Amino acid sequence: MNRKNIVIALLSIVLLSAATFLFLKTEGSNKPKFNGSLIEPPVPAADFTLTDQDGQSSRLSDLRGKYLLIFFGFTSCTDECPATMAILSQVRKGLGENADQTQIVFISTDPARDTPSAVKTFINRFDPTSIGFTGSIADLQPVWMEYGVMVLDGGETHSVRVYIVDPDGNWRLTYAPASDPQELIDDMELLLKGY
Amino acid sequence: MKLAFLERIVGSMLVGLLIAAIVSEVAFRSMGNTSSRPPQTIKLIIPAGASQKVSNGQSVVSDGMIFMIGDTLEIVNQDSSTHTFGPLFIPPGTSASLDLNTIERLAYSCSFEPTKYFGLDVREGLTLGTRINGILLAGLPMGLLLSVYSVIAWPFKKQDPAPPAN
Repeated sequence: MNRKNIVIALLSIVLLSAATFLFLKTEGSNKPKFNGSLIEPPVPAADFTLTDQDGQSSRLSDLRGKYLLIFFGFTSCTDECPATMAILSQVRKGLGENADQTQIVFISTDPARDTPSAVKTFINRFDPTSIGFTGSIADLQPVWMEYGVMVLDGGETHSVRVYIVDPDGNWRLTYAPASDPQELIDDMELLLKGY
Repeated sequence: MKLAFLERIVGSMLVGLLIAAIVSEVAFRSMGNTSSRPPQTIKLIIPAGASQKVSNGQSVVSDGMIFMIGDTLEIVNQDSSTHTFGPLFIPPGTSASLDLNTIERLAYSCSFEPTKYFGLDVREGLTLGTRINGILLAGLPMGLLLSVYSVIAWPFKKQDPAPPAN
Protein backbone atom coordinates (compact mmCIF):
# COMPACT_ATOMS: atom_id res chain seq x y z
CA MET A 1 0.00 0.00 0.00
CA ASN A 2 1.51 3.31 -0.98
CA ARG A 3 1.41 6.49 1.06
CA LYS A 4 -1.46 8.03 -0.93
CA ASN A 5 -3.76 5.07 -0.20
CA ILE A 6 -3.00 5.23 3.53
CA VAL A 7 -3.94 8.93 3.60
CA ILE A 8 -7.22 8.24 1.73
CA ALA A 9 -8.05 5.37 4.15
CA LEU A 10 -7.37 7.52 7.23
CA LEU A 11 -9.43 10.40 5.79
CA SER A 12 -12.33 8.03 5.11
CA ILE A 13 -12.23 6.76 8.70
CA VAL A 14 -12.29 10.33 10.05
CA LEU A 15 -15.21 11.32 7.77
CA LEU A 16 -17.15 8.16 8.64
CA SER A 17 -16.65 8.78 12.38
CA ALA A 18 -17.80 12.40 12.00
CA ALA A 19 -20.90 11.33 10.03
CA THR A 20 -21.78 8.66 12.65
CA PHE A 21 -21.35 11.19 15.45
CA LEU A 22 -23.58 13.75 13.70
CA PHE A 23 -26.24 11.10 12.94
CA LEU A 24 -26.38 9.92 16.57
CA LYS A 25 -26.50 13.49 17.84
CA THR A 26 -29.37 14.43 15.50
CA GLU A 27 -31.30 11.23 16.27
CA GLY A 28 -31.10 11.88 20.01
CA SER A 29 -32.44 15.42 19.65
CA ASN A 30 -35.58 14.47 17.65
CA LYS A 31 -37.66 13.99 20.79
CA PRO A 32 -38.84 17.41 21.99
CA LYS A 33 -37.93 18.44 25.48
CA PHE A 34 -40.73 19.94 27.54
CA ASN A 35 -40.04 22.63 30.11
CA GLY A 36 -42.66 21.24 32.46
CA SER A 37 -42.64 17.89 34.18
CA LEU A 38 -44.07 15.34 31.76
CA ILE A 39 -46.47 12.72 33.10
CA GLU A 40 -45.81 9.45 31.30
CA PRO A 41 -47.96 7.81 30.16
CA PRO A 42 -50.80 10.36 30.13
CA VAL A 43 -53.55 9.17 32.46
CA PRO A 44 -57.11 10.46 32.99
CA ALA A 45 -57.16 13.50 35.28
CA ALA A 46 -59.28 13.13 38.38
CA ASP A 47 -62.77 14.32 37.54
CA PHE A 48 -64.98 16.23 39.97
CA THR A 49 -68.21 18.18 40.28
CA LEU A 50 -67.99 21.63 41.89
CA THR A 51 -69.77 24.98 41.77
CA ASP A 52 -68.58 27.38 39.08
CA GLN A 53 -68.32 31.18 39.30
CA ASP A 54 -71.95 31.53 38.19
CA GLY A 55 -73.20 29.29 40.97
CA GLN A 56 -73.88 26.38 38.59
CA SER A 57 -72.88 22.81 39.33
CA SER A 58 -70.27 21.81 36.79
CA ARG A 59 -67.92 18.90 36.07
CA LEU A 60 -64.31 19.14 34.94
CA SER A 61 -65.07 16.59 32.21
CA ASP A 62 -67.60 19.08 30.74
CA LEU A 63 -64.57 21.09 29.62
CA ARG A 64 -63.11 18.34 27.41
CA GLY A 65 -62.02 19.44 23.97
CA LYS A 66 -59.60 22.10 25.21
CA TYR A 67 -56.25 22.11 26.96
CA LEU A 68 -56.96 23.03 30.58
CA LEU A 69 -54.48 25.08 32.62
CA ILE A 70 -55.52 24.19 36.17
CA PHE A 71 -54.37 26.10 39.23
CA PHE A 72 -55.37 25.89 42.92
CA GLY A 73 -55.43 29.03 45.05
CA PHE A 74 -57.54 31.40 47.11
CA THR A 75 -59.01 34.75 46.15
CA SER A 76 -57.64 36.68 49.16
CA CYS A 77 -54.09 35.57 48.34
CA THR A 78 -51.78 38.49 47.60
CA ASP A 79 -48.71 36.85 46.11
CA GLU A 80 -48.45 33.44 44.43
CA CYS A 81 -52.10 33.10 43.37
CA PRO A 82 -52.49 36.40 41.50
CA ALA A 83 -48.95 36.02 40.12
CA THR A 84 -49.72 32.57 38.72
CA MET A 85 -53.10 33.65 37.34
CA ALA A 86 -51.35 36.57 35.60
CA ILE A 87 -48.82 34.15 34.09
CA LEU A 88 -51.58 31.86 32.83
CA SER A 89 -53.32 34.87 31.30
CA GLN A 90 -50.06 35.80 29.53
CA VAL A 91 -49.76 32.25 28.25
CA ARG A 92 -53.16 32.47 26.57
CA LYS A 93 -52.30 35.85 25.07
CA GLY A 94 -48.96 34.49 23.87
CA LEU A 95 -50.66 31.61 22.08
CA GLY A 96 -52.43 34.06 19.78
CA GLU A 97 -55.08 32.43 17.64
CA ASN A 98 -54.50 29.10 19.44
CA ALA A 99 -55.66 30.66 22.71
CA ASP A 100 -59.21 29.44 22.13
CA GLN A 101 -57.91 25.88 22.36
CA THR A 102 -56.97 26.51 25.99
CA GLN A 103 -58.96 27.22 29.14
CA ILE A 104 -57.74 28.52 32.50
CA VAL A 105 -59.35 26.71 35.43
CA PHE A 106 -59.05 28.10 38.96
CA ILE A 107 -60.01 25.88 41.91
CA SER A 108 -60.43 27.36 45.37
CA THR A 109 -58.60 26.22 48.48
CA ASP A 110 -60.61 28.52 50.73
CA PRO A 111 -64.28 27.46 50.60
CA ALA A 112 -65.17 29.61 53.64
CA ARG A 113 -64.40 32.89 51.85
CA ASP A 114 -64.38 31.97 48.16
CA THR A 115 -68.03 32.31 47.21
CA PRO A 116 -68.90 31.98 43.49
CA SER A 117 -69.11 35.77 43.19
CA ALA A 118 -65.72 36.23 44.91
CA VAL A 119 -64.22 33.68 42.53
CA LYS A 120 -65.83 35.45 39.56
CA THR A 121 -64.38 38.82 40.59
CA PHE A 122 -60.96 37.24 41.11
CA ILE A 123 -60.70 35.41 37.77
CA ASN A 124 -62.10 38.37 35.82
CA ARG A 125 -59.09 40.42 36.97
CA PHE A 126 -56.87 38.20 34.82
CA ASP A 127 -58.84 36.51 32.05
CA PRO A 128 -62.64 36.77 31.84
CA THR A 129 -62.79 33.52 29.85
CA SER A 130 -61.44 31.60 32.87
CA ILE A 131 -63.57 29.18 34.82
CA GLY A 132 -63.47 29.23 38.61
CA PHE A 133 -64.59 26.43 40.88
CA THR A 134 -65.50 26.48 44.54
CA GLY A 135 -67.69 24.39 46.82
CA SER A 136 -68.05 23.04 50.31
CA ILE A 137 -65.01 21.75 52.13
CA ALA A 138 -66.47 18.24 51.80
CA ASP A 139 -66.62 18.65 48.02
CA LEU A 140 -63.20 20.26 47.70
CA GLN A 141 -61.14 18.05 50.00
CA PRO A 142 -61.19 14.95 47.71
CA VAL A 143 -60.19 17.17 44.78
CA TRP A 144 -57.25 18.63 46.71
CA MET A 145 -56.18 15.10 47.63
CA GLU A 146 -56.39 13.80 44.05
CA TYR A 147 -54.30 16.72 42.81
CA GLY A 148 -51.78 16.50 45.68
CA VAL A 149 -52.64 19.99 46.95
CA MET A 150 -51.75 20.76 50.56
CA VAL A 151 -54.22 23.18 52.17
CA LEU A 152 -53.40 24.82 55.47
CA ASP A 153 -55.70 26.59 57.93
CA GLY A 154 -57.68 29.45 56.45
CA GLY A 155 -57.39 28.11 52.89
CA GLU A 156 -53.76 29.04 52.55
CA THR A 157 -51.91 26.69 50.24
CA HIS A 158 -48.24 26.27 49.49
CA SER A 159 -49.05 24.31 46.36
CA VAL A 160 -48.14 26.50 43.41
CA ARG A 161 -48.42 23.72 40.85
CA VAL A 162 -50.07 24.28 37.45
CA TYR A 163 -51.50 21.21 35.71
CA ILE A 164 -52.06 20.85 31.98
CA VAL A 165 -54.89 18.49 31.06
CA ASP A 166 -55.26 17.61 27.38
CA PRO A 167 -58.53 17.74 25.36
CA ASP A 168 -59.10 14.03 26.10
CA GLY A 169 -59.03 14.72 29.83
CA ASN A 170 -55.53 13.36 30.53
CA TRP A 171 -52.90 14.83 32.82
CA ARG A 172 -49.94 15.75 30.59
CA LEU A 173 -47.65 18.28 32.27
CA THR A 174 -47.15 20.04 35.57
CA TYR A 175 -45.17 23.13 36.61
CA ALA A 176 -44.15 23.91 40.16
CA PRO A 177 -44.16 26.83 40.07
CA ALA A 178 -45.10 28.32 36.71
CA SER A 179 -42.67 31.22 36.72
CA ASP A 180 -41.96 31.88 33.04
CA PRO A 181 -44.94 32.23 30.66
CA GLN A 182 -42.70 31.54 27.66
CA GLU A 183 -41.90 28.06 29.00
CA LEU A 184 -45.60 27.22 29.08
CA ILE A 185 -46.21 28.78 25.67
CA ASP A 186 -43.38 26.69 24.15
CA ASP A 187 -44.78 23.53 25.72
CA MET A 188 -48.34 24.34 24.67
CA GLU A 189 -47.15 24.84 21.09
CA LEU A 190 -45.53 21.40 21.18
CA LEU A 191 -48.74 19.86 22.54
CA LEU A 192 -50.80 21.62 19.89
CA LYS A 193 -48.47 20.12 17.24
CA GLY A 194 -49.42 16.71 18.57
CA TYR A 195 -46.43 15.79 20.73
CA MET B 1 22.42 31.19 31.34
CA LYS B 2 19.10 31.87 29.62
CA LEU B 3 18.85 28.27 28.42
CA ALA B 4 19.72 26.90 31.84
CA PHE B 5 17.06 29.11 33.43
CA LEU B 6 14.45 27.89 30.95
CA GLU B 7 15.46 24.27 31.57
CA ARG B 8 15.09 24.81 35.31
CA ILE B 9 11.58 26.28 34.92
CA VAL B 10 10.36 23.57 32.55
CA GLY B 11 11.90 20.82 34.68
CA SER B 12 10.28 22.18 37.85
CA MET B 13 6.91 22.45 36.11
CA LEU B 14 7.13 18.83 34.99
CA VAL B 15 8.09 17.68 38.49
CA GLY B 16 5.16 19.71 39.93
CA LEU B 17 2.73 18.19 37.45
CA LEU B 18 4.07 14.70 38.15
CA ILE B 19 3.64 15.11 41.92
CA ALA B 20 0.10 16.53 41.44
CA ALA B 21 -0.81 13.68 39.08
CA ILE B 22 0.41 11.04 41.55
CA VAL B 23 -1.47 12.61 44.49
CA SER B 24 -4.63 13.18 42.41
CA GLU B 25 -4.72 9.66 40.96
CA VAL B 26 -4.08 8.00 44.32
CA ALA B 27 -6.98 10.02 45.79
CA PHE B 28 -9.21 9.20 42.79
CA ARG B 29 -8.51 5.47 42.96
CA SER B 30 -9.27 5.41 46.66
CA MET B 31 -12.75 6.88 45.99
CA GLY B 32 -13.89 3.93 43.88
CA ASN B 33 -15.17 3.67 40.32
CA THR B 34 -18.70 5.02 40.85
CA SER B 35 -17.41 8.59 41.13
CA SER B 36 -16.44 8.71 37.47
CA ARG B 37 -19.54 7.22 35.83
CA PRO B 38 -21.32 9.10 33.03
CA PRO B 39 -24.75 10.72 33.67
CA GLN B 40 -27.57 8.20 33.83
CA THR B 41 -31.29 7.89 34.55
CA ILE B 42 -31.90 6.55 38.03
CA LYS B 43 -35.32 5.09 38.78
CA LEU B 44 -36.96 5.48 42.15
CA ILE B 45 -39.99 3.21 42.48
CA ILE B 46 -42.83 4.02 44.84
CA PRO B 47 -44.14 0.52 45.54
CA ALA B 48 -47.78 -0.56 45.71
CA GLY B 49 -49.24 0.07 49.17
CA ALA B 50 -46.79 2.90 49.86
CA SER B 51 -49.45 5.32 51.14
CA GLN B 52 -50.64 2.82 53.75
CA LYS B 53 -47.12 2.10 54.94
CA VAL B 54 -46.21 5.79 55.08
CA SER B 55 -49.32 6.59 57.13
CA ASN B 56 -48.15 3.87 59.57
CA GLY B 57 -44.79 5.62 59.82
CA GLN B 58 -42.89 3.12 57.68
CA SER B 59 -40.36 4.15 55.07
CA VAL B 60 -40.82 2.72 51.56
CA VAL B 61 -37.70 4.04 49.81
CA SER B 62 -34.15 4.56 50.99
CA ASP B 63 -33.47 8.23 51.71
CA GLY B 64 -30.32 10.21 50.99
CA MET B 65 -29.50 9.29 47.38
CA ILE B 66 -26.30 10.53 45.75
CA PHE B 67 -26.37 11.71 42.13
CA MET B 68 -23.92 13.09 39.62
CA ILE B 69 -24.56 16.27 37.65
CA GLY B 70 -26.49 15.42 34.48
CA ASP B 71 -28.33 12.49 36.08
CA THR B 72 -32.09 12.21 35.70
CA LEU B 73 -34.20 11.00 38.60
CA GLU B 74 -37.25 9.15 37.29
CA ILE B 75 -39.91 8.43 39.89
CA VAL B 76 -42.27 5.59 39.03
CA ASN B 77 -45.51 5.46 40.98
CA GLN B 78 -46.77 1.89 41.38
CA ASP B 79 -49.01 2.89 44.29
CA SER B 80 -52.77 3.44 43.96
CA SER B 81 -52.49 7.04 45.28
CA THR B 82 -51.12 10.17 43.65
CA HIS B 83 -47.69 11.16 44.96
CA THR B 84 -45.70 14.37 44.84
CA PHE B 85 -41.98 14.96 45.04
CA GLY B 86 -40.79 18.56 45.02
CA PRO B 87 -41.89 19.91 41.63
CA LEU B 88 -43.09 16.51 40.41
CA PHE B 89 -46.69 15.31 40.39
CA ILE B 90 -46.96 11.57 39.86
CA PRO B 91 -50.46 10.06 39.47
CA PRO B 92 -50.85 6.28 39.97
CA GLY B 93 -49.37 4.20 37.17
CA THR B 94 -47.24 7.03 35.78
CA SER B 95 -43.73 8.34 36.08
CA ALA B 96 -42.21 11.82 36.13
CA SER B 97 -38.60 12.89 35.81
CA LEU B 98 -36.35 15.49 37.35
CA ASP B 99 -33.13 16.63 35.63
CA LEU B 100 -30.33 17.20 38.13
CA ASN B 101 -28.15 19.85 36.52
CA THR B 102 -26.76 21.78 39.48
CA ILE B 103 -24.54 20.80 42.37
CA GLU B 104 -26.78 20.92 45.43
CA ARG B 105 -27.68 19.13 48.61
CA LEU B 106 -31.32 19.61 49.49
CA ALA B 107 -34.43 17.99 50.87
CA TYR B 108 -37.53 18.04 48.69
CA SER B 109 -41.00 17.77 50.21
CA CYS B 110 -42.52 14.44 49.24
CA SER B 111 -45.55 12.31 49.95
CA PHE B 112 -43.85 8.91 50.14
CA GLU B 113 -41.68 9.43 53.21
CA PRO B 114 -43.04 9.44 56.80
CA THR B 115 -40.94 12.58 57.44
CA LYS B 116 -42.47 14.20 54.29
CA TYR B 117 -38.96 15.05 53.09
CA PHE B 118 -36.52 13.25 50.81
CA GLY B 119 -32.85 14.23 50.59
CA LEU B 120 -30.89 14.57 47.36
CA ASP B 121 -27.16 15.06 47.06
CA VAL B 122 -26.06 16.12 43.58
CA ARG B 123 -22.30 16.09 43.07
CA GLU B 124 -19.96 16.91 40.27
CA GLY B 125 -18.86 13.78 38.42
CA LEU B 126 -15.14 12.98 38.53
CA THR B 127 -14.56 12.68 34.80
CA LEU B 128 -11.20 12.58 33.05
CA GLY B 129 -11.59 16.31 32.34
CA THR B 130 -12.12 17.07 36.03
CA ARG B 131 -9.06 15.06 36.94
CA ILE B 132 -6.86 16.78 34.35
CA ASN B 133 -8.19 20.13 35.53
CA GLY B 134 -7.28 19.22 39.12
CA ILE B 135 -3.79 18.10 38.13
CA LEU B 136 -3.15 21.35 36.24
CA LEU B 137 -4.56 23.51 39.04
CA ALA B 138 -2.35 21.83 41.62
CA GLY B 139 0.66 21.02 39.44
CA LEU B 140 1.35 24.38 37.77
CA PRO B 141 1.58 26.49 40.97
CA MET B 142 3.58 23.70 42.61
CA GLY B 143 5.98 23.67 39.63
CA LEU B 144 6.34 27.45 39.85
CA LEU B 145 7.15 27.26 43.57
CA LEU B 146 9.63 24.43 42.93
CA SER B 147 11.40 26.51 40.29
CA VAL B 148 11.69 29.49 42.68
CA TYR B 149 12.92 27.14 45.42
CA SER B 150 15.47 25.57 43.10
CA VAL B 151 16.85 28.96 42.11
CA ILE B 152 17.31 29.82 45.81
CA ALA B 153 18.71 26.42 46.79
CA TRP B 154 20.93 25.95 43.74
CA PRO B 155 21.71 29.41 42.37
CA PHE B 156 23.08 29.76 38.88
CA LYS B 157 26.84 30.17 38.70
CA LYS B 158 27.98 33.53 37.45
CA GLN B 159 29.68 33.23 34.08
CA ASP B 160 33.18 34.69 33.85
CA PRO B 161 33.24 37.77 31.68
CA ALA B 162 34.77 37.15 28.29
CA PRO B 163 38.42 38.25 28.08
CA PRO B 164 38.84 41.57 26.35
CA ALA B 165 39.78 41.24 22.75
CA ASN B 166 43.18 42.52 21.96
